[in-house]
Amino acid sequence: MKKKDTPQDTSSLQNITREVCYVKNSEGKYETDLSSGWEVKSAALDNAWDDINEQIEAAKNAVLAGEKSPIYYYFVKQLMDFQVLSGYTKFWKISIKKHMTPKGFKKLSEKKLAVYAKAFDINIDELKNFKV
Amino acid sequence: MVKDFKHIQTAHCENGVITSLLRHRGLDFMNEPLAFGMGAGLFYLHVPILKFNGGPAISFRSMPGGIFKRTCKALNIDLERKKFKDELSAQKFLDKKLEEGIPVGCQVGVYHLTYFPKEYRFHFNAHNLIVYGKEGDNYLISDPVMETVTTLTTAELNKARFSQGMLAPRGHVYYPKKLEMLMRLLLEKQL
Repeated sequence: MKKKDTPQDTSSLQNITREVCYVKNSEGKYETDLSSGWEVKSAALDNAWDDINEQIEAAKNAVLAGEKSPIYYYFVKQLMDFQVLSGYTKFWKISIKKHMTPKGFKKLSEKKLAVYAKAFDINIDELKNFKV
Repeated sequence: MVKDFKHIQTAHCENGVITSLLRHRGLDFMNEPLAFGMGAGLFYLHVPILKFNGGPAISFRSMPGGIFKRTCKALNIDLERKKFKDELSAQKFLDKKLEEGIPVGCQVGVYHLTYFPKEYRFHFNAHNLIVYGKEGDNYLISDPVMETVTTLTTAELNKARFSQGMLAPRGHVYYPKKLEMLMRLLLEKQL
């Protein structure tokens, strides 16, 4: 990439930082330049976030419809996978799956709810009284 | 407190941390392309059978830590690394090293880095940054992908150092230990 072609598009990095790019200057030698963002990269990232937001919306509706427990909602909302949530809670994947059903969720003790609340960085009431 | 630490911005975090740490120890010739080359960082992987978030597994980086290991091996540098069982001992070790004036490389989870734009905060655990000081409850952070230095509170840094999931850092810290032999060699060459 030539130095004059370094992309300077608006992106989510705005007002936060710029990225280093290695570019060729007018003498054909490499040097670094700062880029405020690249349209193509932003589009890919936006696309990924559109998918995630759709999943969060679906998770919310599933909880409101009584198909899933709030644990499932926060799991999706915070972009976790089972390895991540299992790491924070020290619960087994199979137990977490059970807690994601409304039936399994009802049986959870205060202590276990507190563990989940801590993992999601929310307070226990938000978990018990699901409101979005 | 580390004296005269100079923040260097790079395109990739692992190259950046090794470049900054070694430059701080007097290896003035170190820069990102050199670290990337010595560490054999060029890599590409595409596995269509392995699916991640609905797409094929693509990677344009080698295993985290690999660039470090190979650069240090090529330069005959002893790298001290440590992982911890709990946050408190990890924090104590870091504080001690900072008091001794040693900037320390840390492996962290991106999800907990509050200075990143929200759009970039995924559960990715192989990001690297340098901690070069502490002021009150704030750690002074030199993150190589950022334009300037930043800070994180003790709680935030602890969380990032003990993020969970694939490649969980478990408080992983590292810094070059012995450079004497290399420095002597360089000196001899200059003379």
